[in-house]
Amino acid sequence: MATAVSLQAIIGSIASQSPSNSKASLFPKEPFNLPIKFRQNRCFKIEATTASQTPVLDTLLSPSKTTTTPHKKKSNEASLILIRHGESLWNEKNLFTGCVDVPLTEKGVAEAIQAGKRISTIPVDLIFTSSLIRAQMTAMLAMTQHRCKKVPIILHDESEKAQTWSHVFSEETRKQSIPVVAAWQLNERMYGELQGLNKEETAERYGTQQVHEWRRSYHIPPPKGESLEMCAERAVAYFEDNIQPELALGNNVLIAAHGNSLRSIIMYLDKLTSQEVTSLELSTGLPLLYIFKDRKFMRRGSPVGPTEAGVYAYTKRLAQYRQKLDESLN
Amino acid sequence: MSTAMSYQSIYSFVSQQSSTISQSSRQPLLLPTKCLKIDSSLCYYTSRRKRNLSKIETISSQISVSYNTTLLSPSKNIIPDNSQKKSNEAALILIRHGESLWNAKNLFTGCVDVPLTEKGVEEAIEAGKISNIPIDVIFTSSLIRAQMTAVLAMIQHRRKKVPIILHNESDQAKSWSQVFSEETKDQSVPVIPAWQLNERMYGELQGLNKQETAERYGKQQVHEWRRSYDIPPPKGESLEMCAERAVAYFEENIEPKLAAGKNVMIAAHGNSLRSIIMYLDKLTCKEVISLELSTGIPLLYIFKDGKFMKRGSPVGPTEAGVYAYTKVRHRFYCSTIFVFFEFSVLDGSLCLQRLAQYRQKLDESSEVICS
Repeated sequence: MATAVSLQAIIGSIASQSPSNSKASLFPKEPFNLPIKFRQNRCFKIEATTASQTPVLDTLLSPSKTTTTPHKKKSNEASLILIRHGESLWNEKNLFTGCVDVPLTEKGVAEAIQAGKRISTIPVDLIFTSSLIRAQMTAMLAMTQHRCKKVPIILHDESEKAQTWSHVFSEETRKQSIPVVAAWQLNERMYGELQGLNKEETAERYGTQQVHEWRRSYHIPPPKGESLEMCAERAVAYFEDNIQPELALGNNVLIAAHGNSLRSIIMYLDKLTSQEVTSLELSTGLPLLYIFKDRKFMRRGSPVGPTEAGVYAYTKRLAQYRQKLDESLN
Repeated sequence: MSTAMSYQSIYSFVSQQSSTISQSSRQPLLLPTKCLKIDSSLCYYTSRRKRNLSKIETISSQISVSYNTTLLSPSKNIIPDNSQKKSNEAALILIRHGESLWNAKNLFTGCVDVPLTEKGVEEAIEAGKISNIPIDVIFTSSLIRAQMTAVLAMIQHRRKKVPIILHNESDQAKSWSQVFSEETKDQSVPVIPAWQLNERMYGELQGLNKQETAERYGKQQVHEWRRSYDIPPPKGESLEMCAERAVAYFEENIEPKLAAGKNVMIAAHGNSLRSIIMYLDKLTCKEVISLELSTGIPLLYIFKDGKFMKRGSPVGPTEAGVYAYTKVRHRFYCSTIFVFFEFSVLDGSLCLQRLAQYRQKLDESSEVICS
């Protein structure tokens, strides 16, 4: 693995430090603001998330299997892709969207497909999205470009009936499927009484100063809304309970979500301070790749598109995956 | 109108009026000609509920929707006493979603939530040729392929209203998705997902391909499930069961909206839409089994005086010819029962005038809206 490590180091340094790719500003870690510790006081009584003990893949692949046996690790490394959805119809109209379920524009659709082309050779075993259609569409559209040709299937567990009705009865088909888990905890930050307002209306109603404070602060929520801190709390909790265990088992994960929920997760992955995260801007439609290995998250920037020149592989494992895809075409 | 009514035996037809339809549009399926006998001894679909439209709640005609009054200018209508009343008819558009990833792999899908292929996405955008028909509310199933079809089709809508999916799964979901601006609400079209509009649940066939299924159960049996009205596959729904929940939902939730003058679009699936068409067109069980709905091609009905009148498939905005429904000779291909015929669609009725006026207003206002 020594070769892989040194290769990683080289690629990593090229990929992660180009600010134009990810637009994630990598502030130097200053000591004036300690990294936020999560889950210290969960004072917000949001509906309790049931931490899933069963990795999702098993549920889809073999629903009849009992889960008493420990799960075998597939690999000691997993890729994590984060995609922020593209332009929505309210982005276009410059309205505060939050958790209002507004769909993508044509441009947003194109961005999703573009993002898909960039990740078309990175393995995906499991997809997590929010419960909002703009994120779900982004995931579905991106996966139409994936070379593995597996079929994403959205899991339904809102009721017993929904569960039984969506059951798949063919082993072979299940193997060719990628479960998609929709979670409200990955929703955009809830903007309360600002939802549906445009910037002008809002400034008139509340004053420019106040609005600026809500948008730029970490702790202060808009009326009846969430602060970035509150959003981060539920998003990161969900990540730790449901997504990280999958990565630990070697399952490659794609998360299609929103600006604030992804920022929150990146804050956790990169151990950012609250100051750093409020300045963090995520490009829409540009996937971000992390490698999870030895319980650490290593940022790998944004995968280059399939037609772009340059060394592709971020790790030996990913290079082998890509090679397999290339061979299967011939 | 009698001319149109006499063609009720034709199930769906696609206008071939113009050849300027965009390149990507598909030719209507030309299946072998069948002569369908309407046997009066066969069961007609009877609704579980009495179809007594006078009992359907109608929203008071005093409530004005800014959208309707602005666009339709009832005072300009031919019917003189219409200036105070809301429109007493409504448009109903049905769209069957396009190709899904399992369609492409030839697997039984049913209620498994499989998304669209690139082709399915294109079909949905193409279906946006309904852009001239007013839409006030959208109903879809709880499956993403229908929801995507609805929102992609609306991207083309010229009024530029924004579809917003309503969330009722919990109190939190409801309060979190609230909109706080009146103006924004006016510019929105609510989208209501309902599992009752889902595809027929295929039970143990879900995920199987045709070969696997024939091997597992035998060709005869499979043919029976697929072609019968009331025989369900193991742990699945028969077409009859699907129809029951879909039509019940339609009667309880959708028809009242139409009765109140709201224009509705339903984006759903082959079997749930067939069930609804069975109700709208009063088809028999035998007739509905042979009914094939083209994917991605919207079907228009006009609801008026408690009746549903089929209006075929709306022509797209770039197509030549009079906006669909005025007094012209059309040649239609029937995409299910391939009968050629020519007929004139008469234009005496208000609904046709109304749609034509709506389009005119859109044309006039297009410089303002499309900025």
